[in-house]
Amino acid sequence: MRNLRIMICVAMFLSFQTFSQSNKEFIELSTGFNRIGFYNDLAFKFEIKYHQVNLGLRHYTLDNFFEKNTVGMSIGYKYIIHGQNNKFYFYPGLNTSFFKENKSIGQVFLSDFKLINGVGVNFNPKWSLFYQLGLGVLKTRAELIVNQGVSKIDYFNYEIALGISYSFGDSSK
Amino acid sequence: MKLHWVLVILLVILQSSCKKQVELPIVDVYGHAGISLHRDRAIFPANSYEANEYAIDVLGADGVEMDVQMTKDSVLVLFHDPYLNQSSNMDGCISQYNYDQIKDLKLDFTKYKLVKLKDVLNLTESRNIKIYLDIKTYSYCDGRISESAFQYALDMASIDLSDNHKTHVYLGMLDLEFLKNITYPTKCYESTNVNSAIQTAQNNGFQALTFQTSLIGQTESEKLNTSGLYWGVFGIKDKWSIDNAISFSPKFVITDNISYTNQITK
Repeated sequence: MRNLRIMICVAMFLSFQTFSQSNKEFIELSTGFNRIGFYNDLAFKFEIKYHQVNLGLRHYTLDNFFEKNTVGMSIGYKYIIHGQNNKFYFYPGLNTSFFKENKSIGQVFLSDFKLINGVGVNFNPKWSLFYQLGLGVLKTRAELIVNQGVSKIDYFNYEIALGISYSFGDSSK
Repeated sequence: MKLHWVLVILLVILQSSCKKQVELPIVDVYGHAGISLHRDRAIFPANSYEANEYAIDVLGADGVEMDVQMTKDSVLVLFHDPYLNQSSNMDGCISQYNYDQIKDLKLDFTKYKLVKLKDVLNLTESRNIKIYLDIKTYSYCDGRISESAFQYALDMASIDLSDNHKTHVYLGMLDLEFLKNITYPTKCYESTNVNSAIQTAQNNGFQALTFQTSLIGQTESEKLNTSGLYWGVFGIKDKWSIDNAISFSPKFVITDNISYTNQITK
């Protein structure tokens, strides 16, 4: 868990560093599905040239994994490739998210690491719609009450998501 | 306009804080073949070691249901389908092979291998959880399996178990004569008739009964709940069918959605 905390701190530091120098900021709202279930994601994005960093909250409804509505932290990076007329854009990137849930058996931690790629369409300078696919690994760690043991299980995960993005930054910076 | 939204949010918060404390039924939640028998819900293949471990350690199931078949050399293994080619890379039936010939069988055509019952029983004992064994007493290739060979295989599989943990292992099957002739502390009769099943269980000293959920209504559940038997239902996957099954207050459910079933029973 110590490594996880360090990773989150580094990601937050990088995010704020990026934010202080960014030339465009966004709010992004998306919904998607993966092997854990359905999720909603609200993120702030900062862009410098072709690089975007996002920091947000991800909410899972109870389904395959969570027994209650659970909110976790989501961090990501995208490299944006704009189309010729700036109408479309494409991006490869990375996304991670972290969750914790208290269950009757103990505490369960879930980390989701994914390679993502997506396609977006700009409706106007402010609004865009995007579609995203992801592949990666889900790492679970359960701290059990029964034998004070730790159980770690990893498995393959996919992701399909659809979202909208609103730009509120000043691109002339 | 802003005030309007503030009021809406306040109303939502008030509504959620005023929810009645509903008395939840006490139900043991068993994962179906580990996590789920249905491929769309299963993280790991049905009846794999990993599926059972995940159901117990990560999803928090009270127990796991496993489908048990016997090999030609009397080793009990976990496999659901009557024919191997329905969900693995081999042909024929489990009963046609010695364990060494099928130990590398790929469950659901994945990297996950066939598991011995003995190995999973050791896991469940270490976690102190319950187990429902759905014993397949009939092979589509060789007919009804030998009772004496099964008794030997069962004794071998549970040789390391404590007497206390054996009482957490429910031996379930449809074949009444077979069940009568097997020696084990906790037996469960799977039946299609509630009235005769209660009588049969009481006459033969069985501790538990299981039914397809569609067989249970209000009248049946009242009879079962007054019988004092440990009874449960299987065949529940979607949220509606789980809600419906729980409304009959069974003592246990074999579910394909552990998290949701836990959420409404814990």
